[in-house]
Amino acid sequence: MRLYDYEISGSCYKVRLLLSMLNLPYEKVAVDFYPGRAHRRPEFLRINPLGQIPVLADEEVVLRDAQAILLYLAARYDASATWYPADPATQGRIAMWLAFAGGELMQISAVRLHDMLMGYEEIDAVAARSAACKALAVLDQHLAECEMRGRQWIAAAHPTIADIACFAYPALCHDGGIDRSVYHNVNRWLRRVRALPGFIVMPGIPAYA
Amino acid sequence: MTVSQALALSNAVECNQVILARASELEMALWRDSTGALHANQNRCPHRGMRLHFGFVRDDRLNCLYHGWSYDNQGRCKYIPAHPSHTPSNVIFLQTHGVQEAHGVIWKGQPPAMPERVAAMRSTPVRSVYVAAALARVRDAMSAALFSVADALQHVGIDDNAGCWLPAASGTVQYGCLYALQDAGEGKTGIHLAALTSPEATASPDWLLALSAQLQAVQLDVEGAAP
Amino acid sequence: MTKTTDPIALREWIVIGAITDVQQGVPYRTQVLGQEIVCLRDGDAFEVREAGSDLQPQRQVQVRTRYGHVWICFAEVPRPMIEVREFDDPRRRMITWGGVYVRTSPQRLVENFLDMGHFPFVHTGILGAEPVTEIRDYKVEVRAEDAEIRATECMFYQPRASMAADIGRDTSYIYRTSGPFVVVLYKTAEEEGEFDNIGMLVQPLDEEHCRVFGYTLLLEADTTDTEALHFQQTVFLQDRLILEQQTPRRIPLYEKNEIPARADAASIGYRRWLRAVGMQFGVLPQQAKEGASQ
Repeated sequence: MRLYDYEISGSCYKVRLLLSMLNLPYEKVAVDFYPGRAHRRPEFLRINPLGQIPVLADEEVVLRDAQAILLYLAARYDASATWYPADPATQGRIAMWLAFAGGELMQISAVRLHDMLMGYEEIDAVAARSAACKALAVLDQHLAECEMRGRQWIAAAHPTIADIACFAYPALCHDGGIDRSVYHNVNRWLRRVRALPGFIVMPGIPAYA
Repeated sequence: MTVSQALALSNAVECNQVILARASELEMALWRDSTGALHANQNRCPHRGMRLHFGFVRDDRLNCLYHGWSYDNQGRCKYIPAHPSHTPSNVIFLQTHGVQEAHGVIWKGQPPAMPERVAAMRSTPVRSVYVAAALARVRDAMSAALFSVADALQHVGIDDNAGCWLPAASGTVQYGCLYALQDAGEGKTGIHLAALTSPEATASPDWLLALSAQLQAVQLDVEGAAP
Repeated sequence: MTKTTDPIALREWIVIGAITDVQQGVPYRTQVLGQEIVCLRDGDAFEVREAGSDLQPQRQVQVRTRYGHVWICFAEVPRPMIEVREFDDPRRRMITWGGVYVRTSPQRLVENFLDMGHFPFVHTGILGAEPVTEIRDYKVEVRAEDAEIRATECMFYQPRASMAADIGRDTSYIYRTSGPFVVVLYKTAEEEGEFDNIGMLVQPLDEEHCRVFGYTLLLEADTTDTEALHFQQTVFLQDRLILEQQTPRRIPLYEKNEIPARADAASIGYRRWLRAVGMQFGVLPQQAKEGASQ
């Protein structure tokens, strides 16, 4: 299994995180995302015409999109069938929150790129930050309501790939000048994810907390 | 008479965790040790100015994330990892702030004096929201708009920054809610909401969800319905 | 935004980008020491001008390329640039890091780069790990004539000192600052008797915002450029979280609210030098109350 990866990418981190929790061996292919912009060059576009990372290549299966990769890895390799359970209602909820992780929460990615790297100056950081805070508030409310129903995880009574997908960018929000101290339920849930076996960090997420 | 200053709901900070708490423009590192005891310190490490709420609680001490400088619950620096056998000078310390927990809320300094009815009830945390509005505006909304007449609850003020909604005293049913307001700095007000029930009853999920929805409605009302 | 008047800052050669960042015929705009500038490239010729409030180009500013980057100087007589002889070593290849924005002063960046005490906590499992946290005494020399702080005989045990490292080892460090915005680091390489050479080049946009460039002069044949780049970016991005959460952003040279330890000898030397030359840019002025009461 090969992962086209960048250490600094939150999207790649989602996949690295699940791979670690599933204890799956894989080969990392380092893509010079920045400053090299290798993900936009012809050799990489042959692998993913959208020019995005991560990409997972598992024998004949080649997948782009972190959320899709999480689903595949859980469906294929999770013997416990808990990361992506067979229950349709849970699958529906997971899909909903995977879409949120790849959608609304990516506003954090936008403002993070704008604030950190060159070449993203055109991003409207004020608008992105505001949209990101709205998304965090939605997640905070959802997690509060989960707790009221006696649940501690986003889509089920146990961790699923929805939790992995939604973890990365809220955990990285300081990189984009977002203070998440007001989202108490998000912070409690982030802590729960950190305590899961196989948890790993990435730059911007401290080893100590 | 001083007005109460709520900082957070009790469940905002767990054992061996540090969070950021604000009282107006003052930042504090609010943390619990392994026994659950609450402590609050200045949020800035005197070594190189690192914000301490990014740190970690270990061995009943607050440790700075940058170099691991370790402070006890009196704010004294007890250990500097770069010099393990050295006793840190007593000029290295953190200012401490008094905090107390009561009725499911963490207060800076003293909690407000509670009406007897409230003190006798059991408190369950609902949620904290932070609204971009002045405290006075939020106070008006919480004391007037949280519930309608049809809900059969009445507002009882506790002090300028705290209040509760309870059924009329003659009822046998005991339920309601407690809210505490926080000047969270930068024009933001924190609303901390807890459900109240009789001591032997647990707050039902339906009641908690209903309260959460009410809080959401107040937030929308106070911030305007702008997307 | 107005250009600083601090002569200590103005006399420096300051990096504005990697050579490859500036494209032929495309105006390259950025800010240095509070001043908007625009750089134009025609082949290997670069021209830089200050830009007015209408962004129209005005006074021309000295420009040169060196060490893979483009540098400018606002002063008539620049302070000489640091000599890094390792760039002439044909065995080494140069990796440039790419610019990274950081919300802090240049001095906070330099101090972080000089610091080893944070390795176990910020670069856990890479440059350091508990319980091996002790910093033994090392030597610091302030060479005022070169505007250089030199820290030598620094030793630290590192679980993974570089991309090529399979096991932990004691690593020897030598640091040289050159002026207030540049630090070069020499650290023991995997190959016996050799030193890796790493430089951090800070572009101060204004007193509390910087863009950081850097280079690694790589000796190891088995590490790809991308792997070495990612190793370096990982380490720097781990520091960025810290750097953006230090208060105040400007360095409080004249307050009494930052207490060093012995391990901070290099940054103590750096602060001593900053006070001796009367640096103002990036420094909290005396009598200011910002950050002092926290």
